[in-house]
Amino acid sequence: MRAQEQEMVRILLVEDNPDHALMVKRALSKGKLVNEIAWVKDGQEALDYLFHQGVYTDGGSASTPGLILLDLKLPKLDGFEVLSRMKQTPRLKMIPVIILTTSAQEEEINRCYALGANSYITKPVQFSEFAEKIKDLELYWILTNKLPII
Amino acid sequence: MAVKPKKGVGLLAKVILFSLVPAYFLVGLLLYFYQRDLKEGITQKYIQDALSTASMIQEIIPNPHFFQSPIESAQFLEKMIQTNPNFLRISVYAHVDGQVKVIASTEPDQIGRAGEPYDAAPLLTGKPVIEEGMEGELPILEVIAPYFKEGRPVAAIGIYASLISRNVLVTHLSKQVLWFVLPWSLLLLIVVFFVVHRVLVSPIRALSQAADTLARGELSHRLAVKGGDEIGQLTESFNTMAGSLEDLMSQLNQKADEIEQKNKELETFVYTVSHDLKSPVVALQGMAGILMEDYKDKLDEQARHYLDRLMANANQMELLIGDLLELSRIGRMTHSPEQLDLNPMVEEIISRCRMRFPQRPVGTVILPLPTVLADRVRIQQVFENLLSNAFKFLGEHPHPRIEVGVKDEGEVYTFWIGDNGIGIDPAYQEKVFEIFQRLQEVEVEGTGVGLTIVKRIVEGVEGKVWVESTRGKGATFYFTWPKHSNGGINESARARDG
Repeated sequence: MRAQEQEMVRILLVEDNPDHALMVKRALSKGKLVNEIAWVKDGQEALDYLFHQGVYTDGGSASTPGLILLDLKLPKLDGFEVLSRMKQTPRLKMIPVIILTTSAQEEEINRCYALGANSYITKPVQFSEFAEKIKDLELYWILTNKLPII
Repeated sequence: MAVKPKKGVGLLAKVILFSLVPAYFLVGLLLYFYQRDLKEGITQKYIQDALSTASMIQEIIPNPHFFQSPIESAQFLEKMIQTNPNFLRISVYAHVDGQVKVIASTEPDQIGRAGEPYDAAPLLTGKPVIEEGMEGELPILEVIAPYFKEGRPVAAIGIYASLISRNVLVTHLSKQVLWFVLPWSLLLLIVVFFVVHRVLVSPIRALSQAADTLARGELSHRLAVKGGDEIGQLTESFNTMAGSLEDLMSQLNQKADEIEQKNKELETFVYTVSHDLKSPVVALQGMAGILMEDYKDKLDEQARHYLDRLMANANQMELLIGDLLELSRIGRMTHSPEQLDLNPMVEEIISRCRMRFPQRPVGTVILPLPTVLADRVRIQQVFENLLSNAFKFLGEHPHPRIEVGVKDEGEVYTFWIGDNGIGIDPAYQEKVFEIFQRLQEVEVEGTGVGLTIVKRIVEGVEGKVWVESTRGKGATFYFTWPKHSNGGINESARARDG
């Protein structure tokens, strides 16, 4: 039952570097728990997606994700900005966020946690790392998935 | 602080010594000459009186044996003696029975008495004799003038004068002069004292104090210039020097600010570049990983080897960039220092190192370590880098050993991390702290930034780091950490405050 719920999860990947996006998608594809990945290339597009604005005005093409993978260095708006904006919105703030970072610097990570991020992964990404992080978030997930999806 | 010179003779004492002592000597000399001239003048007067009296006698009496009786001669000579109140006696000497004897005198009992050799001298030479001497207790002047008859000296007229009144007068006048000079010279001494103090000593002291103030760093300090004498010029020179110093200092500070600014820019640049470099390296690592994972079976041995090398180099590059980032962060990022117990920290680092280098069992000795005031991240980096270095360079020693210890040196702790590994050639012991310096002889992982990071952190808290080593016998790295460390507050900020 739970496994089925997990399989239904839609992941929003916010990543400007296509190679990095490819690596993330590949790592995720190795697992059985994901069936859909939406990929946006900058911070502004991520907000457009989440708030159904711009090219995503038609709500159908951008259903609210169950998990967000967020790169920090992004064009236009950076990851911190995206994180703080979505965490201020009641509808979005329950979505777990995993930060993708190349530097793993203490102050960056602390800032992310302070803004409400759930976990972080240092690139290059390995599937095993994802599996572990997602397992950590499992409990959280069960709770959030009970909320009506808007 | 200015160095106080050894206490010697003060300027005031010197001026007084060198000006007043010669002045007093001069006064003394003048007094001596004054006294001598006075004495001489009075004596000359006596002599003149005596000689004119003698020539009066010569003119009045036709020959020396003119008097009929001693009384008659005494009466006549008594009149003559009154020319000068200091004259005591007049005696006339002549040859009597082949001897020079008194033949007439103001004192009749002298008649018949034999004369002294100098009394007889004018009879032979025809020239007067002048003698100063004592008659009993009495200082006297004797003037013996020849008496001529038909151009030949036939008798001598001796006139004896008392010198008491002369001597009394000279002494009295000298004393008067002295009593006049003494109070005035005392007054002069006091005046000189105050003038020298005001004109020389005070301004020089003020200058000396101003120099001290300047030395303490108060470069805006100036002195008021009084007068155009040498001291005034010195004060002006001092002010000019202080002005130049102030200008130079402000230029220096400006330069320091510029350098600091440039340094910050450079650090930001290094940070940004390193950060941006990381992205492609991550892609490289990732793609190489995918290739290895998905196409392992399709690649032959040679291709897999190349791929391995590709991955190893990508990893090395990632390490390098990571270390560069770390290095650039030391200047930019600071945490507030806290009291840290180093014992669990070092134990944890050592157990991590054991996991990283599991090949051989390493004996470790950790002496009890203190609690220090430090930025946790920074001091951890110091121990981490030094300890992992020790583990890396253990070489082939059959009983590898690492020791961590500390020595309390009052103001600072001196920590050491020693090993019995391969050691470092003395020629390279300074170089190991330079960035990207690696000793090529050993094949170990690393970027050559670790010790540079250690150096920057330790020097950031005004500590020192150095290494002592014998090749083949191991190396011991030392570093000092101040007890009242500010934990790594920005160096440039401190440099300016200092």
